Amino acid sequence: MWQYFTLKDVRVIGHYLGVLVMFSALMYVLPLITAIVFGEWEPAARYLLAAGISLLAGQALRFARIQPARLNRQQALAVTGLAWIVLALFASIPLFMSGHYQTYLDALFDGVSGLTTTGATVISDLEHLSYADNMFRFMMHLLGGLGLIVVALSLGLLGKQNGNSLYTSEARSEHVVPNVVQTARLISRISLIFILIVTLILTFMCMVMGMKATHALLHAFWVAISGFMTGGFTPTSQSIMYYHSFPVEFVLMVVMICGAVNFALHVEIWKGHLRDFFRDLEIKTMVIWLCAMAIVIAASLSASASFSDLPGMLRRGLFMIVSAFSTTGFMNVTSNELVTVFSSGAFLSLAILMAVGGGGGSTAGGVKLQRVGIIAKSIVATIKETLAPDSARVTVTYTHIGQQQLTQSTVKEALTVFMLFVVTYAIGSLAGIAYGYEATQAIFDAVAMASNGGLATIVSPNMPGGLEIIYIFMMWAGRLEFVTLLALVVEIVVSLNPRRHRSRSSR
Amino acid sequence: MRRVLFTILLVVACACFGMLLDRSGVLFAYAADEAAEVKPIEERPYANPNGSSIENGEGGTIESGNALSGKTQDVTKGGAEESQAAALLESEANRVNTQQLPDSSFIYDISIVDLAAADSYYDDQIVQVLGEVVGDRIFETADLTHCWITLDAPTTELDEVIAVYMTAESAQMIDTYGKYKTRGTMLQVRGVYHLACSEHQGISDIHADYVSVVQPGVTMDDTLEFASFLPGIIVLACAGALVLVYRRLREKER
Repeated sequence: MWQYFTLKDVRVIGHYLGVLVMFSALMYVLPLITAIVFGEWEPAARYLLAAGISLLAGQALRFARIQPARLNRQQALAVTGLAWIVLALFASIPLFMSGHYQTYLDALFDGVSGLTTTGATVISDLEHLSYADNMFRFMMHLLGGLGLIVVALSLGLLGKQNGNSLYTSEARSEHVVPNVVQTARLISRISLIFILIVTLILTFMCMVMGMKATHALLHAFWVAISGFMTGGFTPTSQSIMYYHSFPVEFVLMVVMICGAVNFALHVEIWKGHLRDFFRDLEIKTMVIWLCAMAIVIAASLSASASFSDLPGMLRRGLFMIVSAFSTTGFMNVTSNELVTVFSSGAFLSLAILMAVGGGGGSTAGGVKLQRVGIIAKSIVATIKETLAPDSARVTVTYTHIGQQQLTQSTVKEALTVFMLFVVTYAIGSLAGIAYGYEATQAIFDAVAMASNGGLATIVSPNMPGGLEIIYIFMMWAGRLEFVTLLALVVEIVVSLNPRRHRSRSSR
Repeated sequence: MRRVLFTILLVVACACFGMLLDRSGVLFAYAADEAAEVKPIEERPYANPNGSSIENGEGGTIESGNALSGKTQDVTKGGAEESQAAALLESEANRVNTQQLPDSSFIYDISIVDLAAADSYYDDQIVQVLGEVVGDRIFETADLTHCWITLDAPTTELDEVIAVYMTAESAQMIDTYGKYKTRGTMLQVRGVYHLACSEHQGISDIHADYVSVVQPGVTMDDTLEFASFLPGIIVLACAGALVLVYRRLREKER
């Protein structure tokens, strides 16, 4: 028996969506201030209008239900699932009005890419984008990386009684501290501290390289946000290659790895529990996985003449490995080099790194290391059971924020999400191939979209509209890790089913 | 907690130390010495043998595919000039080597858009591109003799850029760096294109041999017009009114 939405559910969902849309007007404050400070009057007027539209539309949605009740699980699912696309629709308005997008669909693509921290972009003439518009792109990364629900909960917008259902609907499983609101605030605080420290370091480095102070500060702030949120947007078309600086790349590699680590493990480090950190299943899986892939990519790159020397391989190869694994999407090579100079083995290895992704409960995307570790443990458990006598009871434990026992439901959840990711990668690849692109590029970009990795070779202002829509859905689904979105789609379809209404009225 | 803070301080100190090492050229052998020894223009095979640099301030392009060797100026005045011309003709550098194998020392007059999608065909070839300077001038080493600039293709349809490695002296010709409401200096750059530069750990770049300004930069005004803020103010006022109505209705329901 499938659950369906009643009119009362729709009104409650509309009310809370309205709250989130109103709250998203905060995204426009810093760009507005930036525009005023730097005398960018056209963007200032545009962000004032965008803030007004968000507040007006959000308030109008709240009228759907004046006094909303507590959210049940289905309603929380719908609010979380729809929030991402609804907020992206509003965020695309000032982007489209900037004149840097050929169509509204292009602006929507960037809006979804920014909020889901994918980082792929179809913007035109990025080098001449205003500071205000750039600030807005990175505000989307900040909000999306922290999580719309997390930020809303930490500001107390959605009510304390709704916290748990909304939090878990946003594909967050771990409570860093027992209280959800406190968890949300702690995640926000850790992120902001990281971003502040990295901004200071990078500002110093950029000024040493010859950049002006304001330019250095802005670039440092934006790149710090993008790095820790594992977003991938950069203020220039050349991505991190623009800075021509190994120390900058090194700092960003550290930041990206930190962004891909579970927030709960960050708390363990802050508390000084380093042993628990290194014994964690995710960290062990990460170390083994990265070492194995680094060897594979190094062997593959050494076959090409261009990257066969050690400094080149270390600098370019290692950075791309960290960028792909953390699903950030930063590049210190050009897209052309990825396709032309990198061997196909190295190219597809980067795709596999994005596909697996970073740690659960972090800002990274992909299948997540925890699930890969659980699947590996499940294989070990199956072999143990096969070899053990019939009367023996085999239990497998692992360390992940405490000692955990491997249960059937844990394995089932990991395998389900893993299969959903694989199926989505396949569908996206086939779509790219159907549109006439090379198979390797189609696979690479499909993985980049669904894993929110952002390293893309097909994505450009001239890409087909149909493929853009498919990629938008893939980014959206990947951010929610499929289950929330699929459940929402099924409920909407069932709710709209006329046969259900006829059978109810005939009784 | 103290251990964590100590670790963070150590990382910051290492990053700053690494930055200083990198700026001094110790960390990576950028072959800065070789790059600094760019041959004077008069010694290059394709240059004007009279030694004067070719000013091209009107945006004229050199013919596609033509090597510049052999562009000589007419020498018509005086016996001394005639003997100089004769000496040049007889000099060792002007002798034709009949055993020389054909090579690819050719100049490709190419757009940045095409170069951004280039494959190995253009690798290590002399290219000439026209583009707008955008972004910043980035110094790579502590000696400040060379820097990186970014050239943007002069078309807004395709957003392609290329990194150019040039001398600081050449970079001083740039009067404006392109950004919002600012069109940067249009430069014509001639140099060797590398698909994956071995001197710079594998990035795609052009090592500029010759740079000339085609058009200076232009800054456009972004004037403050109150009328452009009116739609935003009106919509905000409507939103404010709706908030008040909502609060009234909620108090009534309670």
